Amino acid sequence: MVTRAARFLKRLFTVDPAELVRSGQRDLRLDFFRGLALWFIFLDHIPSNLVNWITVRNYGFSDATEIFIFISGYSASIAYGGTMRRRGFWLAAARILRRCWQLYVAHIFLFVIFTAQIAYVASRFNNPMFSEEMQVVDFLNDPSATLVQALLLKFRPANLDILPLYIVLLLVFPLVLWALERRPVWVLAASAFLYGVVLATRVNLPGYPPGEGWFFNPFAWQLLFVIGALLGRVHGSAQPAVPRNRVLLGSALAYLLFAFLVAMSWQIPLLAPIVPQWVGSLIYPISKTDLDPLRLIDFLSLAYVTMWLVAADAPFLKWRVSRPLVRCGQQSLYVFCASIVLSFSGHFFLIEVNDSFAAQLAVSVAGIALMVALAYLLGWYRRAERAESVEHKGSARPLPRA
Amino acid sequence: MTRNRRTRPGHGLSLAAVLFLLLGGTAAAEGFDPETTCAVPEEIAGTGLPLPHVAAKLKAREVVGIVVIGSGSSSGMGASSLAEAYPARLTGELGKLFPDAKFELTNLSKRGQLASEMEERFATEVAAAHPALVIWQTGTADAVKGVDLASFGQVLESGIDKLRALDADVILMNSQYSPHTLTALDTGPYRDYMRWAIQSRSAILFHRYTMMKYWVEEGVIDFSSPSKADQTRNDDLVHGCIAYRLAREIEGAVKSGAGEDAKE
Repeated sequence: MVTRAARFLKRLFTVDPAELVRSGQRDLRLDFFRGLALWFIFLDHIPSNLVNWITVRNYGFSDATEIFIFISGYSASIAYGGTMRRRGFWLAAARILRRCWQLYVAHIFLFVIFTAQIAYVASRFNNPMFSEEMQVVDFLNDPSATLVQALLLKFRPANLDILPLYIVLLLVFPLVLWALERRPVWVLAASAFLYGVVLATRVNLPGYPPGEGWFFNPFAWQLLFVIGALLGRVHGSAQPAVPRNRVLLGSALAYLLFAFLVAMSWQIPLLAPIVPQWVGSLIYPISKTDLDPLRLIDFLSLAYVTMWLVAADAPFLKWRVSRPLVRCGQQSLYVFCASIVLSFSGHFFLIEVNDSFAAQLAVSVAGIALMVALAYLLGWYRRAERAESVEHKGSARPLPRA
Repeated sequence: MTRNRRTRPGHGLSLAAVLFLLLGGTAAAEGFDPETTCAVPEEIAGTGLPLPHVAAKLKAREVVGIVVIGSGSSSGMGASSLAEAYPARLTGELGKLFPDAKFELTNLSKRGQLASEMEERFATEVAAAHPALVIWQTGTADAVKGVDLASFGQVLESGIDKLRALDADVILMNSQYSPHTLTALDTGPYRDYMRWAIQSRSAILFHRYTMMKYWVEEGVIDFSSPSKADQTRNDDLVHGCIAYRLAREIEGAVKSGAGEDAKE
């Protein structure tokens, strides 16, 4: 058992690059679960929606953010690792930074939409009961500071926190990937050390207004991205990425059950006594900002159980009903942006027009349908473009994946 | 963290900031039936946790000092007048439930105050009122300013300790449910920290957010109308219901601890 785990770690860190060059097959699990995370993010971002009861955050410590960041690290390593091995550091770095720029533009676009919506609400609703809450829109009164701080990613309104995290993680990823190709152990050690420093000192990137840090502390969340990237390196090789160990599986399941019970005690006040006071003072608070170890272990357990249960060639991934999720996962950036805009609009509809359960259900279904439609449209467009470029050049070199 | 453990002076009636002494029913008379209007699901209706200091005062037939310290909503924002705000109406509601008792309420709330700013006043202004119960409403101003969550959590814990050291029971009250600002202002993480703080400290959490959300969903209140008159009616209703539910929470707590004597 121990030797099996040791063998796996050794393989992980000494993977033969030649073996990796041919990792051509796209792993549908990545697309499927990233698609699922995007749907969850959409639902979770509509606060007044009963349908978000189905999302993962209600049943444990971690939520869709962990899934999204982990899979992003995993697929970044697949997408750019191959380029770096075949074409060298500079082209891979250029592609990563181009992606980074796309994310930045997308974030600023979302910021503008968000600001427009908030400005409308602020001008229309001025119930004195909520004047304290409405101070959150005071940034509209100081556009010169706000806009500059938003461009610097220091000012990030609520719900617009994930992309800035992803942007700074990708910004340093060329160097991380370069080091991962050579000294993976050192990279993991350095990443874990930085995470430890955060837990000890709470060091964070500066935000705006001054004195406050990022809601998702990049110095902590980088660990999950790096773990994803590390596992992504052995992706596509003949052996399964993670050893099948019953003791590990048992511990993961036990931990998930513990997290489930604690999470239930938050949802149902009557269940609160099931968490004894000494357990409470031991585990609380559970910091999302600094990716509390309880959250990290929760997500890693979930990922392990999922990898155990779902093989890369699991039949359900190819079922027709899975297609919408897979397609959303394949167009993650655009679908993510759409999900944010749609969650704003959906929430707006619920509080302005109708907030019955039927309306909540309708908004949830309509939003997901629009995300799926966008994913299909983009997929169709991409294939059409590719077909045309093949016609012109007569070569079938695939476009880089991102 | 300095803990200011004072010797307990007699129950002084010479209070500086007494806003309200016991009166019968207040202004909200017309057709307000809180028992049906302000109903909430059972799991948030009452915690059943004891308030030993309040129970002891009631048993000894002494004046029960209550301090409300919070931010905008507790300072009366939204209510058509200060007398319509929940702190002022609380004594009226308590008077109905405990007709023989005497309650003395001091409201120290200030708009926009952070938890840390309120906590600094515990040893001075709050202590001066000699409360048997402190209702600490917080979390909203901190969420607006984006105060670091870990330090917010620490302030909650040390704040509860300070209040307990004053020989007072503690009820924490969380943020309002504010539908229009939900996409811009997420009070969720701050409410989580309040829920966690009471797990390791002896205090009661008053689920104001969940209650208001429930009333909106049930159509009891409706914040979507931009008309001023509708707003005022809804806002007064919310304050009235909060006062009613607080009084019921206190009643339940006193009854649950009735068998045992107050522990020091």
